[in-house]
Amino acid sequence: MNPDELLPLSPPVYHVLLALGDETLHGYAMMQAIDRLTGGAGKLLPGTLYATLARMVETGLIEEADPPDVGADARRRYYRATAFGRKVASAETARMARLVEVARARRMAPEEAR
Amino acid sequence: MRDRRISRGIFRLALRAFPADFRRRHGADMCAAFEAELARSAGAGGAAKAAFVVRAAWDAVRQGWTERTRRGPLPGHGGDTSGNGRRSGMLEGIGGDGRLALRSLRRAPGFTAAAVLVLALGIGANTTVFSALKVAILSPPPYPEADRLVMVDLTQRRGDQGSAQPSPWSYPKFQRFLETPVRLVDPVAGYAQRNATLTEPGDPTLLPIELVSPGYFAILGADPVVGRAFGPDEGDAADPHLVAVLSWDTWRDRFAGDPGAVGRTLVLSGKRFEVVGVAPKGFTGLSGDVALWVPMAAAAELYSSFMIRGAQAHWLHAVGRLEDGATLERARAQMASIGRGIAEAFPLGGPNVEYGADLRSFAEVRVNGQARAAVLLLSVAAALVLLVACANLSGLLLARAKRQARDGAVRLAVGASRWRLIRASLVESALLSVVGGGAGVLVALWGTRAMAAAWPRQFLLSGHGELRVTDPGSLSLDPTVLGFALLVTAATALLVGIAPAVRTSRSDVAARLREAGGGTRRARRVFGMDGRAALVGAQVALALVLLVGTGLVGRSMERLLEIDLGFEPDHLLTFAYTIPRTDAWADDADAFHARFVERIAALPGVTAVSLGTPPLSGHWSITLVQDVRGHEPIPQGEGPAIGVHLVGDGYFEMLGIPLLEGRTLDARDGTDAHPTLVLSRTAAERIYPGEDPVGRSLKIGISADGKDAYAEVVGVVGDVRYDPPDEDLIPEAYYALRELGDRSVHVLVRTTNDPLSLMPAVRVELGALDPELAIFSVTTGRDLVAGATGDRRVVLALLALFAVVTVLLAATGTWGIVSYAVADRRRELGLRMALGARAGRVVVMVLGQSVGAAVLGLAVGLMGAWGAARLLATFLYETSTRDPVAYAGAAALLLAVVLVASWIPGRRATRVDPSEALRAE
Repeated sequence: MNPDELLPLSPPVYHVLLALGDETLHGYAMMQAIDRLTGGAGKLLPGTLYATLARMVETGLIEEADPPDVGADARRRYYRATAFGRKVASAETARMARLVEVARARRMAPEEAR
Repeated sequence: MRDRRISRGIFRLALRAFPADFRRRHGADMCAAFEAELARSAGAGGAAKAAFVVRAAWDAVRQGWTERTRRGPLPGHGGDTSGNGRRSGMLEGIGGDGRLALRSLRRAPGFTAAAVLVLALGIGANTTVFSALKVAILSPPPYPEADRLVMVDLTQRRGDQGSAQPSPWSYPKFQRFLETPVRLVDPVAGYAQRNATLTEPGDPTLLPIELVSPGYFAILGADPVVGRAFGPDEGDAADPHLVAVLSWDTWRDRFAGDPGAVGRTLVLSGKRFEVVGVAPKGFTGLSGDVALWVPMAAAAELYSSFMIRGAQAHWLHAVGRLEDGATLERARAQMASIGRGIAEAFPLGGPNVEYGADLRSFAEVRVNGQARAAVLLLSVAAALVLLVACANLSGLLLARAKRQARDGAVRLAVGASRWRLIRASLVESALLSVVGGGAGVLVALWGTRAMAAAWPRQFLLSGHGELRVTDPGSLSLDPTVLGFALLVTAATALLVGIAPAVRTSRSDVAARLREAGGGTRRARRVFGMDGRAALVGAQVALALVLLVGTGLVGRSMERLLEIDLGFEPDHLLTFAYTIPRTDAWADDADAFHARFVERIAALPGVTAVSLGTPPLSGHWSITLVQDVRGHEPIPQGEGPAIGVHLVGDGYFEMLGIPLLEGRTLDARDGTDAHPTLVLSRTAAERIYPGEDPVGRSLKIGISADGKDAYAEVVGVVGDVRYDPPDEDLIPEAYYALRELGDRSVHVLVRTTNDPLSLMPAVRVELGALDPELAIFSVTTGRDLVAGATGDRRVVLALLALFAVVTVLLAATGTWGIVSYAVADRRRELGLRMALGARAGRVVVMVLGQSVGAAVLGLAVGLMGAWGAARLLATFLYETSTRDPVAYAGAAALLLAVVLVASWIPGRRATRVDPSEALRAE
């Protein structure tokens, strides 16, 4: 499937991909990571998170993985991003970057932070 | 601790929204995540914790439900949050279902065609009838603040009658009314419809015009858009102004829509009128179809000064507006006292006639009872047709669902949710209904056009003829009617989509998959019948109700047509013309008529010509018998009513009216000062019971200058119907036309060929004698007869059409269910026959259920018809709503149809080859 077909991504999906990055995480860890990354704005509740995870598995954006050796809780399911998932995340980032450029040209972007 | 257990319990409960398999996979993780997060927020305080629990639980329920109802790509695909994603996902899903439905419908053309046809008939019938409903009952009067409009009536109460009846005003009485200084009804305007010949500009044509008071246009909110209305000074009869206001259509047709038309003249019945204004588009006066308006005061110029002077000449109606703040009741009370004043001022009506005045609200008057009853009846019938159509369609869909049951089972097995299956069925039904609705609209387009053309003239006017109530020209598909069609379509989709959809989703997956090729499992039964049989029973019941209704109206029509009309209607042409007062021939009308009759008689294809009132066309006049020589004097106003006709020589012979006694009128009559007349049989029996009237003299309320008041009876002829056939006969008297003279005549022509084909030659002859004259009221004997029963004819035709449709639907429903039963039970039948069952028994077994359902339907239908027949009562003539022939005939016919529709496919059951059936899978 062409990554572009999935764009634009919904916030939960994008956040999950961001949170995963190169790592392998289980659900609650992702929740915390997303909370941290978005400064609390993209906080996911368990229901939404796991429904999203199920969907992303179906679409091939993430896959179940073996728990990492360090600090793993054997009972939990762990996930990592697939190559395709990373491509999609990149594509989404590129899309948003283009939009930000347009916004800057039209002076709609907030003041540059430092 | 306890809090945590409760919170956990709540979340666990919320998780049950998720499908079982999802719970198995992720439930533990979700609970763990929940508890971890709960523990983290412990520090934030009890309120925050509670908020989190609620939010998490709610989120779980929402997401769980989404999981159950769709299996699509990413939630929120399209940039939305999960909530919106669910909606767009559903829309996507429906789009997919739609494409699927379209494909599967195309693959079953027979079913699709049948379904669309059924729906088109049902929806088309309802939409057509609803258009008529709108025209006949529901459309509000097109005048502003119509709830303040009232009809101002003069009333007359005859001594022996109970209540005072509304009556038209005479000009002097109306003026007296207008003199009342302070009225609760103000302003008031009089109006009356007449005909006049317009000769300039354009061809001479007889047109309907209205004579009106100056305030007429203002009251109706129809102020002229070009020029002006009549001023108050133009309403004075002492100094009549010959001015006219054109209707929009007349302005367009005769004056080419030229704004300079104001100020130009037109010639009406020989008089010159000045155009002062043009009425708004679409305004055609209270009597409908009016071509132009002139002041009432001009009546003397156009017609006769008697219309202005005669206190006893009642010819005009009046409409008015209630004053602000006045109520109808208070205004009516005031009218009652005004009426007493009028009665005192005009006592000459006779000791037995009491005048008064009253008001009726516009809404109350604007009713044509017959039209209303007819349209309501047809609405009920059309609703029944739609119900039958829905039942039939449900049956078709149920059968289809059964055939597709395997598909459904397979889809369920590979993970489609039951809701998806239901939705797919609903989408298919909706698609069918939309297409069927579209076809139905086409049917309705044709239907409304046909109905407008066939609109009976009995449905046009209000009860006492004051107003045009229904306008068949406005019968069309407009947005409201279209909206109704769509509403019915949607309701049909729901009604029809539910049964098969529910059935499909309840499929027991495993059983279906096992049930390879028609098992021997019995379908679910209700009251000993399965769903389809019940539907057929319902269709039979409804079809019977319509069939009985048709039968009753049909019997009634039969009786109506049996009435002896008293004349021979075939090959009869009739038309009329009027010689205007200012015409060259006006003073010698008799000679003109004679010349014209001569010329017509000489035309090829003409066997007889005469002048006089055409049958079924009303009377020249109706008056009372005042005195009969040799009998007891009759108190004033108490003599029997008698109709009067002026006829030419040979009238009776050419119409085929038999002479019973004495002689008919001929060239001698009307030439001297001693009037003669001929009586009808009813007149002879009523006035001279048991005596021979020939040679006797009587006085009726008709007299001519310089002639005796008493007329001698020279003959008695057979009765002829001049009023609608279902009304009682009244006595009739015939004078020779030259006795009294009339510039207006009807001509009757007996032809050898098609009567109407003679008209062009007739027009040439009339034009040759006098090019200023216009011909109107052209019709044939057959059309007169048809028109007299026009209202019942329309009702009968439509009821019959609906009945035929529903009988056909019930028949095909029966056929379908029997064919299906045979096909479905091939295995069972083969088995039974292989075990030795006789063919006959097998057939009975197969037919038993469907015929049983039909018989039950017949019984229910009979009861239903028995109860509903009351609705028909107004349309029945000399026929009881319990007429046994109608009921028995309908039931027998329908039973026969059902038996045949069962037998033909049922016979196939006997042809099942047992060995083949057992082998087939």
